[in-house]
Amino acid sequence: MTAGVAGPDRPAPVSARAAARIVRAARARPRFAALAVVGAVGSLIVVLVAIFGPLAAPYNPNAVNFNLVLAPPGTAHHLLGTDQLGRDVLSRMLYGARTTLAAGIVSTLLGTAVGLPYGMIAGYFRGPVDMLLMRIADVMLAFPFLLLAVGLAAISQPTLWTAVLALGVAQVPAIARIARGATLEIRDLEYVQAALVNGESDLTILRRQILPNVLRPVTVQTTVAIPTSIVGASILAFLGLGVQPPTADWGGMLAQAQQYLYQSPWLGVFPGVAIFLTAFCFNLLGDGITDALNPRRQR
Amino acid sequence: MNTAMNTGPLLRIEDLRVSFRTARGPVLAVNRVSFSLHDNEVLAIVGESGSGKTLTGLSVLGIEPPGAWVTGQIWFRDEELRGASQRRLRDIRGASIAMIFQEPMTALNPSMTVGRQVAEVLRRHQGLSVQDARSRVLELFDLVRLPSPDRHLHSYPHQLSGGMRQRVMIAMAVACGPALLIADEPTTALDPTIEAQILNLLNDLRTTLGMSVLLITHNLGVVSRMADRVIVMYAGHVLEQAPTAELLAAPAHPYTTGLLGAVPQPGSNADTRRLTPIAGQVPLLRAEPTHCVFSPRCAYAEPRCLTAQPALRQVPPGQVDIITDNAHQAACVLDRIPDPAYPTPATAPGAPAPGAQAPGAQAS
Amino acid sequence: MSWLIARQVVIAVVTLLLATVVVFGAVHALPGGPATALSADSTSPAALAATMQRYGFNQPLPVQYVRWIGQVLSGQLGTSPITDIPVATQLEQRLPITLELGVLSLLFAVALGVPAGVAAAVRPGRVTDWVASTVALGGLSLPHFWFGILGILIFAVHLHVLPSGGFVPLSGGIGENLLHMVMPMIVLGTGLAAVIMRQTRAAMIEALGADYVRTARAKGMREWQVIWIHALGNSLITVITVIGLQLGGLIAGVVTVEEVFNIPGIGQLTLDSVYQRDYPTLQGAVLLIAAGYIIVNLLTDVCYTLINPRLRVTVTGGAT
Repeated sequence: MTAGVAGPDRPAPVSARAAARIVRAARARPRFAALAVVGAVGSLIVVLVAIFGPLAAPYNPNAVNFNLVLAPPGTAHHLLGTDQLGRDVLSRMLYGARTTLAAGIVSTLLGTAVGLPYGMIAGYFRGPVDMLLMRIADVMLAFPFLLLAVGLAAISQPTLWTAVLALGVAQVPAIARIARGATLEIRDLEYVQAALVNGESDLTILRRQILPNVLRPVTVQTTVAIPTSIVGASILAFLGLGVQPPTADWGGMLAQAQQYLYQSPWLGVFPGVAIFLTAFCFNLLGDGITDALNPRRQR
Repeated sequence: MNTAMNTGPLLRIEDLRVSFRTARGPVLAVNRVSFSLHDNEVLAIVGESGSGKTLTGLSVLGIEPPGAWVTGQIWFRDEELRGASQRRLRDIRGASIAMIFQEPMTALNPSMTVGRQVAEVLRRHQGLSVQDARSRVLELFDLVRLPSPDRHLHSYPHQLSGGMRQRVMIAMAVACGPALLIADEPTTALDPTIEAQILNLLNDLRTTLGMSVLLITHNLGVVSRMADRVIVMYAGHVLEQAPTAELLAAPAHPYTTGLLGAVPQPGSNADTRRLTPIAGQVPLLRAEPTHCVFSPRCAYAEPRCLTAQPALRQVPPGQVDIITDNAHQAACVLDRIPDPAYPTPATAPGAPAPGAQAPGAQAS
Repeated sequence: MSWLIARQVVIAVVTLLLATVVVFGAVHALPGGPATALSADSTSPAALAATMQRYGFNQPLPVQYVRWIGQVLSGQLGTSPITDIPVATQLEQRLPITLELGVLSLLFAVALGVPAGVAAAVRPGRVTDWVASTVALGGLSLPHFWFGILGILIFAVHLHVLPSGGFVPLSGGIGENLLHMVMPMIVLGTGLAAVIMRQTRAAMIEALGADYVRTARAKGMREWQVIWIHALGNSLITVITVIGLQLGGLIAGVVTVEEVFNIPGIGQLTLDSVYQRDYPTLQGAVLLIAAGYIIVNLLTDVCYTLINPRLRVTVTGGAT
């Protein structure tokens, strides 16, 4: 993707075009645009909390205090109460944002980093290469992220990284398929053929002609995949297949909260609300971007 | 040619207006259109794309696209359709008034067999059982000359050719014996040989079934073969109406002349008769016109053309005061179109026309 | 068309075989080697040697693989070193339970999602649409295990109307059985319903703007016929495709829901065997889930081929 000034025979850079499209779409449909803005703001807040939250945490998230076990919210010095080991819930929530968000975003980026070239190569070269790659992708599809996480947990100890790996690998087939489809569409267009005839190498063509056009649908898919990954990461943590206690993590907190539902129901509410709102905001944002960047808007 | 002047008209449109609200303001697509259609008559509405002719047809049935704002009155026999309830309209559609469309591939449901689509109409309006409907469908397929009717009962639209699909559409439309058939560009998407067959079919059907046809087209050849009367529309206005023969022989509006001049005439001397396309495009009206809508493209425009849109008036003027539907009317200030083959001093090159303005054939 | 379906079946079988290779490879990557993992007592050298002998781990890998496939196909999936119950028996007992949960959730999701999508599509941009779409988005964002926990909190702990978990087989009365399934079904089905709703809505909006809908109205068909027969009939294809794509998430959902509600299904079995390092059971469960997933995908593809009239009567190569 060449950054640069738009000239008479060089279209504006992809990002500028996309930005213009987004602004135009926002003007056309203010109500939906409002939702997308809410989503963007919410997502930004969560990201900021993940980055800076721990600085504001009143306590060490792992500091136990057996004198103040299962304190309800509103107790002195503990805005959200404490859990079964006396640890401050608010602090754990602030730290937990990091693991949840990191797992969700990093795994999606991983899946995109692998899936994008995967799909482009399959679509560009077609023939036996394509068939082989797609069959492998089918096999990958046969193992939903949960199974992958289970497998990895069995082979080695489950950690945050096995979760990230499982989530990332699970996304490769979907992204690869989209990248492949976009590549197939563009590959046969005239200007690509012209470049081939001019003797440009495959790599150059892939990079300069195909990549910019594949990026758009893949970006759409990626933004949509982030909230799914975030929820997926929390599922894995909940099941003990990801982040392990005592590390603070929203999913993990919910897992522990299950035993204390009767006496301390709020333990099961706060982390869940956090996950829900985070996913919801990212979803709103993703929807907004999808609508703005898709040419055939079927809203 | 038509005998029904003693009974009331089958269809009477009064002051129909259709407008749309777009991002850049309102668009007046149909403006003050009025006409009548009698029993056993074929009335053609002719115009280029954007003239509003299709919208007029859709408005009769009340199936104009969402966002359309329609005013005026549409009388079908003694009933005013615009004031009718949706229930009543649904009973009328397909049974008393039917419509066929331009592109049969998209107009037919791709995932339903053609047999079922035709049977649907029968069962809806006549309450036929599945068996009865099926035999009736076979009869209809015969009527529209569809080959191998039994086989095609269970065919899907994509398995049929364009001509066959159009026959299915016609079968669907005439299934319940409607009094009025609205045909929107029925042959535009077909090959010329198929076109001839379909037109013959329509002609035969209208005689056999005693149907009136409102034929919407931009093709003057189709008009000359089928229509009893013609209405010429432009930018949402009616510019001329007359019996077909009269219109073709002695058009009274410069636009009609232009349309006729743009039609290739087989067998004529190619060097003496050149195609004269009308320069420019049909305008999209956003407000009531303050001048004749055709004047920007008119070769004969005068200053008085720029004061207001002319009303329809009898041609030639000064005849009987009673305006019958058969009368020849044109919305032009001119009493007579100067013949382009014999240039008058007004149109001789170099000589300024008396009162004529420049806006002749400039591209708009 | 039958050629097309045969091709899909072949691809599914190939995928299945490749999946078994993956599982096979994973077992051999286990710490301490497969023998340690699969023997009942992983410390005694005699037991280890016996396991090596029994499974033939000293043989070359391809031979082991073939032997293993043979065993799997004949139903010999080993015995759990923890519980001493044959793996095949466990799977057999638990499979119907998971299937019941899955099927009920799917039915619930369709019954909720399709009408909601249609309602939103019929008046796009209006209140109904806006509300339905936002609720659907919320459903998509909802972590279902949290949803389950909340459900238990409200309906079991506070209101006492529904049981907090467990499973009652049909032999214990269909009423009790369904009562225990209500919350799990709703929890599992909600996310899927949200996806179905959005997809139905999009497909319906497109269908309702199509020419053939205009023709149907011009024929005088009643509005419900236009919406539910003409428009929806053409939208089902995309909806079914999307359901097929969502099945992966459904599997994750089954595992979590069984965990939250303590339902003795395959999902719970998988999870327990991971915690307990019960490798034979884990291997069997993973194999079953992967195979089930491939089969369901195949069924979806076949369904799609059967429904799409263009594919039904003309043979088109390379349908994907």
